[in-house]
Amino acid sequence: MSCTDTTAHLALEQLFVGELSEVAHLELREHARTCAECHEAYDRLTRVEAQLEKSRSGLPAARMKFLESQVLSRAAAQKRAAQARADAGGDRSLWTRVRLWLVPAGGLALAGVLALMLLPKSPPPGVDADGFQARGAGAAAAKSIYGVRAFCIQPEGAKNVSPKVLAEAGPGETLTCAVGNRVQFAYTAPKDARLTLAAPTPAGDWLTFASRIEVKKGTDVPLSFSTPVTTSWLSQPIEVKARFEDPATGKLVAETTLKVTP
Amino acid sequence: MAWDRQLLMGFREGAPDALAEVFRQNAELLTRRLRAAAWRGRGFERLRSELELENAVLEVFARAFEPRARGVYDGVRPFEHFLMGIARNFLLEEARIREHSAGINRELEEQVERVLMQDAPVDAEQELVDRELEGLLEQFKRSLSPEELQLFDLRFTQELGQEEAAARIGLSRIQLRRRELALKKLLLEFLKERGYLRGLEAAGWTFVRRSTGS
Repeated sequence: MSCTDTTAHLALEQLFVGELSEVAHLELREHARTCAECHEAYDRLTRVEAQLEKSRSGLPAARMKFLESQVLSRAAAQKRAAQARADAGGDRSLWTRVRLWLVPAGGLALAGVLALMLLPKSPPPGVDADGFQARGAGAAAAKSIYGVRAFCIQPEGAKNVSPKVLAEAGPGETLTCAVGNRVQFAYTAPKDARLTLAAPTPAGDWLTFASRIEVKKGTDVPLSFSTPVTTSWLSQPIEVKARFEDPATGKLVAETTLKVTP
Repeated sequence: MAWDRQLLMGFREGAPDALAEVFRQNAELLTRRLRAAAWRGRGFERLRSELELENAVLEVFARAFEPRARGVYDGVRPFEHFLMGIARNFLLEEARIREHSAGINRELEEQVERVLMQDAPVDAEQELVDRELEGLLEQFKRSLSPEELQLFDLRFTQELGQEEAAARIGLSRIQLRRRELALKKLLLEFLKERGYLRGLEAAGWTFVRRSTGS
């Protein structure tokens, strides 16, 4: 399959000649995560630039500046979030926590924190190829108090528009989230667990939002990342399967599903 | 890196200037060590991709600059060790998430510590990749006109800044920037012709996918 994203191709050449804006660079990185061709071109052009500069780190100076800017943005967002938490005091509603988390996530759009991966043909760890078939636990486990909710978030806008929760869906429900917004998951688990969130695609790939991440027990705890909605992964409805495992034994303790649609 | 009281206070408070200083002082080392892990460490080949390496650098620094992490750094023990400790945890988490075939064992932990805590010689395979590119750049230089070669030498061999290189050639900085841009376009074309940028072909000044079989 060949990449036809001409914006990405143009961005690659602009990156190489040093004329790509930071925002466009973030978009290119996001695209390159799921596009093997552009990923390879990004890598190769970066190597050429680093070799030209005889960079000791192996990354071009301009790239280091970009990384510095991103790290500082994220640190500033974390600081704002910590301040907002302190100001909010005892208010610990889920909405508040989602919004607080969104401050760092909204302005960032880092490929590094996007937990969306396209896994070729094989299901993510702990997921059976035919879906999340319960092994022993079955429907009883799915009805337990383990659960996942998804939120559609309108990110922070250019004119200081605060992040806004546009829609929400619980187990068995459907979340509608348009391109340009972000999908945020939150979980409820009565015990510490490993959580996998993944959706099969018609092509037989798996879109993995989280792969066996360790989660602490809690109610409606937002995951530490959100995923920008792009047509590269959400052009039609997908069924996200959530699987909770015992962290010690790896045994399935609960599973549930919800749908996300553009 | 040396920590004075002002830098430590600024770091703990999350002051942008202090964080930028800490980043600049440590980013090169971290990148080099993560790269070493990618090439020498079994199981971290994914980081051979520049994009993934950049993501790893971002993630490690982001963790080091989290309010809680900033609060626990005492300014006494070397920051390098503090940062590499975070990098170590990041790499082991990655291995765990990606289900390292051999599992997370003591051997893997020791290997991660080894590559992160000291500078390792360049891996032979990595050197081979670098040499391929080096050879291509040498060929490219031979294809340049004397004027282009002079610009290439001043900027990329002698590593002069644009201002200084412009003064040597007798150009304004803007003129030099334009010529450098043209030189990079030539280089891109050259690399494409040599097959280094596989599958991508420049049409005018925009990449398009080369159709197979044509």
